[in-house]
Amino acid sequence: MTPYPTLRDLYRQFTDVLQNGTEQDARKFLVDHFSELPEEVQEAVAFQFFREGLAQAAAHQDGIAELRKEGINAMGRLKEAKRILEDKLKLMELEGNIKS
Amino acid sequence: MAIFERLRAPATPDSADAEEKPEGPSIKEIRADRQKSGFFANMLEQEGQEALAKKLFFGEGEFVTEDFELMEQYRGQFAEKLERSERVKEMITPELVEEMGALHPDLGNILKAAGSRDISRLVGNYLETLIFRDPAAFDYIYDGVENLNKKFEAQRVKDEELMEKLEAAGITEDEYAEILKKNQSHGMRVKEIHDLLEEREGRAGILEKIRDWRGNKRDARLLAAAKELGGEATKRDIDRLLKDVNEETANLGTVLTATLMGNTELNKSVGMILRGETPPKIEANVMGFAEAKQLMMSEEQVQERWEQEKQTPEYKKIKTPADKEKARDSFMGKLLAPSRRRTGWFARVSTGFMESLMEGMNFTL
Repeated sequence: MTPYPTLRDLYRQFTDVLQNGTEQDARKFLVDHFSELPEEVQEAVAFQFFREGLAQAAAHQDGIAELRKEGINAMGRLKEAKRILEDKLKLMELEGNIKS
Repeated sequence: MAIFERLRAPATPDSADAEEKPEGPSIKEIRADRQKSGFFANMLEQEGQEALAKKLFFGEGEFVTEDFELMEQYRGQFAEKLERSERVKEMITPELVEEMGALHPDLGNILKAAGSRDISRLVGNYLETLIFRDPAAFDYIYDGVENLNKKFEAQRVKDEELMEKLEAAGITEDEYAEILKKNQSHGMRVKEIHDLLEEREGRAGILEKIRDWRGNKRDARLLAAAKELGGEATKRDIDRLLKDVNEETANLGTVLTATLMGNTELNKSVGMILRGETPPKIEANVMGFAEAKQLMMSEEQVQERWEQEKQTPEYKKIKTPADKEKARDSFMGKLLAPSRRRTGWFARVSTGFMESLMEGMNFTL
């Protein structure tokens, strides 16, 4: 539990940022002082960032899945190209052997 | 919850628990548990039963038989909510929070300060109260976490398949066998594979390959060229094309390996390439900054309001110190009630701050 004098001081600082600063200032204050905040405030801060992160993580996963899908398709095309080229080489070798 | 937790109503008459009950805690058990009774009152308020919620919260008025019948009707719903909140808490693992922290800078910063175990616990605790205060907001998160976990699970399954293609990325069968031999978790295996790759290519090198591959997509052209090679092609032509195919396969192996889960830092960089470095957009109504400005009171303002409260005829009628303490707790609860009803984030933060401060303040009776 945050000791009362620390809490009182933090409370005053936060009220000051809230009244005179911007949303970004208040957000930065909460991040910078996270360890000193009362647990209930920590819960609200952690939850908000988690909430924001959730949408980002879902979009990120979709992006990764798409990238991977494209990659696997490309891998299939390269495998096919390799097979064609190796077959041609084998054929060339066989023709060489027959001619010689 | 601390202030509301202290606000206890009179004991439940035995008759309220006499009948056969559905699953979950009984009304008597709910009222005997400080936290559960607070949640139950919040749920009643959500259901439009404000008078009953106040009896539970503030001890305002005497309970009558109908009150217990009504509470009994909501008990099944209450048990369901408790179960649902437990389920979401289990889903929010430290690993999930770590993955997300790699994508969200502020979440990443508080993770550094408190660790993933603590952050997942804090988020879970918040959700435990949210389901009773704001069920729609809770459902949004519940569905989001469930979907994300499904996506992670789907990726984990594909990770296993992808590992078979690692040779293309320059990771030899022997190296891979060495990693498998260690009998470690999938996450640790992936981490080792990433480390091997990073050691060889450097993170910048890996990211450059991803950018290059996404920009050029040579595979289709190489396949077309292989198909078009006619009878006049020489061995040298074929060897040259085969060399290009092998190089592109190796590059692609690196790209695919970088999409494996487990190395959050590399995944974060891949995410930045995919997003084009766009920062997340945050909706203003979620933040509630303007609301918080209006709601947050200074310590002096709170003391002033308490002094005014003490001058009211209702307070002056109170004789015993125990009743005065109860009146003080009720005053604190009422002072916080308007901001407690707000859903904006800053408003919630301000409420939490005010409540903690009031807990430590010296209110003379």
